[in-house]
Amino acid sequence: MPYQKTAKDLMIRLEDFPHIPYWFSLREAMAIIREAAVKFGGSFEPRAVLVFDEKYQLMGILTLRDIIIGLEPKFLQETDLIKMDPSLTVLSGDFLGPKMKEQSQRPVSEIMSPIKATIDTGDPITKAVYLMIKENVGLMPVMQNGKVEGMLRLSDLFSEISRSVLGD
Amino acid sequence: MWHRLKKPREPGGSAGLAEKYAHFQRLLAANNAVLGLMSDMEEKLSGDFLFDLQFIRASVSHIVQETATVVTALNDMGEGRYEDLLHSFRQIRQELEEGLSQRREIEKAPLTLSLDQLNLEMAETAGGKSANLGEVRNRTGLPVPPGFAISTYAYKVFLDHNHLTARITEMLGRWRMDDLDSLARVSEELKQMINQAQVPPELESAINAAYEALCLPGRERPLVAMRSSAVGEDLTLTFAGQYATYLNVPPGEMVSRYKDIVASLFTPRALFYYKNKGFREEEMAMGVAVLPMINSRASGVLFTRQPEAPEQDAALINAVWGLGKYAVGGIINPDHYLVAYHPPGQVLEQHIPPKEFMLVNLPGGGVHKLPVPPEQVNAPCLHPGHLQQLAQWAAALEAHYQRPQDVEWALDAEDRLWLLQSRPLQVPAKRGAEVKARTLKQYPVLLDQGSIACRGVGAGPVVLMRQDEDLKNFPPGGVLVARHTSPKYVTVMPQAAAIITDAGSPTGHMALLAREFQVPTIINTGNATQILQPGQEVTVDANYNNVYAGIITELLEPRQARVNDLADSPVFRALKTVLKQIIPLNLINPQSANFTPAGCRTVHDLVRFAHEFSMREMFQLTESGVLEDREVVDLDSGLPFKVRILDLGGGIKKGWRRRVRPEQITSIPFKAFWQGLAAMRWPQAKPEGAKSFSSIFVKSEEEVAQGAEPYQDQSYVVLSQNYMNFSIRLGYHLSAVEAYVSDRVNDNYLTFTFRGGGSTPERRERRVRLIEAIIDRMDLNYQRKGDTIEARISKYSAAQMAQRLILFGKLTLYTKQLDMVLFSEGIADWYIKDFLREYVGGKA
Repeated sequence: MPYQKTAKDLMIRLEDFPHIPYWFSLREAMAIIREAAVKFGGSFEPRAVLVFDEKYQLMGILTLRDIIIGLEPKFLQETDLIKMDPSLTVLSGDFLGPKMKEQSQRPVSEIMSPIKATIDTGDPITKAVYLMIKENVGLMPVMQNGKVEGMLRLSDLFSEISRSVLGD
Repeated sequence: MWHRLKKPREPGGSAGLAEKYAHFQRLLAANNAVLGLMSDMEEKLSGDFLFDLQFIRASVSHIVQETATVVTALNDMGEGRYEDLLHSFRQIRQELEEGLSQRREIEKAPLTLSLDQLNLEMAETAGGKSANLGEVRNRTGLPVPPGFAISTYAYKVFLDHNHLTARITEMLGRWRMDDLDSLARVSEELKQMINQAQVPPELESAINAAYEALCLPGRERPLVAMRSSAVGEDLTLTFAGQYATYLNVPPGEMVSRYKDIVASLFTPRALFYYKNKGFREEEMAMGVAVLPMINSRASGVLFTRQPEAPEQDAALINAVWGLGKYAVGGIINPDHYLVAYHPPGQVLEQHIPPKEFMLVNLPGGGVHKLPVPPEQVNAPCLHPGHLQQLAQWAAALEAHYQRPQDVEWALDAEDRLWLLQSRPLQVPAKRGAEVKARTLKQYPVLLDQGSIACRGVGAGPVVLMRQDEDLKNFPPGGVLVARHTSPKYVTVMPQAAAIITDAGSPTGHMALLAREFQVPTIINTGNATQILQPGQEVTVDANYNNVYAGIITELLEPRQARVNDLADSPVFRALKTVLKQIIPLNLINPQSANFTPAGCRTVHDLVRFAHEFSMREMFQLTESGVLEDREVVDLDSGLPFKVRILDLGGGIKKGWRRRVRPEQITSIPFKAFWQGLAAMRWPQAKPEGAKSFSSIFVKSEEEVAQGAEPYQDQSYVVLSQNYMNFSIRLGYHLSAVEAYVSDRVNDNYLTFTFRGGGSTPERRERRVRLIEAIIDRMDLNYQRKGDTIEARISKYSAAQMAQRLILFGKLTLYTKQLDMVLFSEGIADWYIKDFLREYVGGKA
């Protein structure tokens, strides 16, 4: 039997994903991620928060990576004069200090990643794999009739692929 | 209040403003009262409260009265421009009152009916028990003795003949459920009334004629069993053991026993049960089932399924020698058999205790308690053949009724089995995977044996039942401990934490009632009354048959959302019906075309409309946009928050125009409140270039709940130098802050009202819990009803009042913005902590 699963079969329902309004701060986003991990008891540990506007439109995704980059003090960023090098991180002994607390007040809208690709509920899994690799994203909205219905994660696609490779 | 506002007013304000404002205040107060009553009634639907039809009637009448005030106050403000709203109000009021006053007439029917004519569809005419007997006899073919029913119409004829109907209704209205003394008095009077009444001659001859039809020519004239068959009895609710049954009645006594059975409608426990389940007085109608007396060698109860393990295809059988009363009354420990459906009658469990006594028929009528002959005391009452036959009955009854049944049976002298009663068995919702038996070793175990009658865990002080008087003083949350089981305990079941008895059977009446009221119950423990001391705190784990000393919180897990057995009862149906005309909100968006008086379908619509238009009346701008009242302006704050201001004098700096900036406002309470509100994070400009995607939530949570755009709603504030009354509408959040702040400490006060809406029940609960926790730390008096919170503080210094107004400003926006994120209890806790740490300070 040919493989027939679609994006809808593997997606996580939108209401199961934690979400946050775009003007909330990074520290609130971090609290939400921590609580969401507790809520799902480890079985589904969100690695991202969805960012919505006040009209419940999806504006972007805030990943753990985005948050860490958002908290990183400015001097760690490359400029024309300084080429960044891992050994320079010794200069940032302040990384977990007051500067970071200050940074954590930034609104999530400054940090979030925009939505780069979407897929429809009826689309085959292969299309989803292709888009995720091409756009280098780990999470993608699944649309039905022009509305976001759920989220598809690379890790779920991976499980599906490995099941097929390993022949379970 | 008003005189204080008037004083600082500058001369030249428009005439009539004071009067208009007085109506406005009246409207707001009544509006708050309506919202509070609505929350209160909604809360009753949770099933955690005791209430009756009287409560519903009183609440509805209160709500109608307050709504009338709202509607007339709006008309007073608008000089009669809202006649249409009065019209809608009258219509809704009429519908509400009609819904509540519907009486159900007892239909005309023959006074007696042969069981051969009966089936379940005739429950209204024959009462539940007779209808069920007819159903079994005529539709399953199981052996039910021939017999007849005295109809509920006969009951009506009996009452009418004695002119009793109106008097009964009047007397039933006279007691409240929490007053057991008045209950006993009313019951006594009602019973006397029935006893003194006369059975009309036509009823007497109908009963005698039906009896004659039972007598076979040439055979002995049988004595009869007369059993109550009330409307509703043995249908979805069992009324187990609430009404009278008379065994072995000589034909000549049938008529007076009939009166006794009718009188049993009015015993205190039957009245309590009836009212607790919310029947209407006129729905209390008593029929009687009359069956020839079986001369039972043994009798008992058959549960077609075990209430505590309904997944297993096995029937539970209890048996005693003689008549069956002892098998259900909790007096002696009966034989206990668990038998399989397949192969039918295979014994899975069997327990044959000594049975010292039995109840037998006396030749001339009546029954008598006798010692069981010594050779029978330890013998089983039933043989394998009987068990097989009863197992087959169980399967047949389940196939027919499609739900578990509770059956009474008798074995006659000729070794024939008879079915004397069949009614639905209360079975708890299916449990998940069965957990292994558990005894917590680290706590002192007081009792570890018995039979579980209703699962669950409860804890509280031991209350020993020695006599009926003890019931009157039963404290809420007590653990009832008694020698025997008794259906009388039903009167305290709603407030009992648990029940433990020395003797009794899980198939008895009290066990059925405990399951209906979901009281954790262990029976047949042997010696609970000797081991447990009055007042001693114990934890009863009726999941595992253990009683521990002390209160063990780890066992008392938050109560699982339980199946609400009352949800089916008439009082719940009545509440749901009236709430349908009260709670739903159809007028969501003031901009929409149906936001009109004619669009009002419910009380909620009426007050929503009146509230919205009272604001417009109070803060009216003329159509041209030119100010009519000099006092009304819009706030220009740069925030996505639409505020219209009415200055009563001294609230705004001189020289303002059509729009004022917050810094131009001089009102002391407003300045403080605004300081808090503006300090919070508001929706900012959206990042450019980002593409947004509409989500499924747009159709569900947000649009439906809010209608309009979340920050597009209009808020209103009335100001003077020392006064503020701010009605804030942010989406479906409605809060009101009223404050007077001056140097005269004794005049200062602050009230805060919050009412939520929209969203899911869990999220609403979290939102209210968050507000509650924060207000609690601000040293305010507050009370909560459903998801309405009212807080109040007075006589604090101006500085302290201002500090709290700042906090309320922050809290107001905080809660609005949290709607999207309150997805778990944990996150609600985090936000409570964060707010207290960031803004309230101190012992966070």
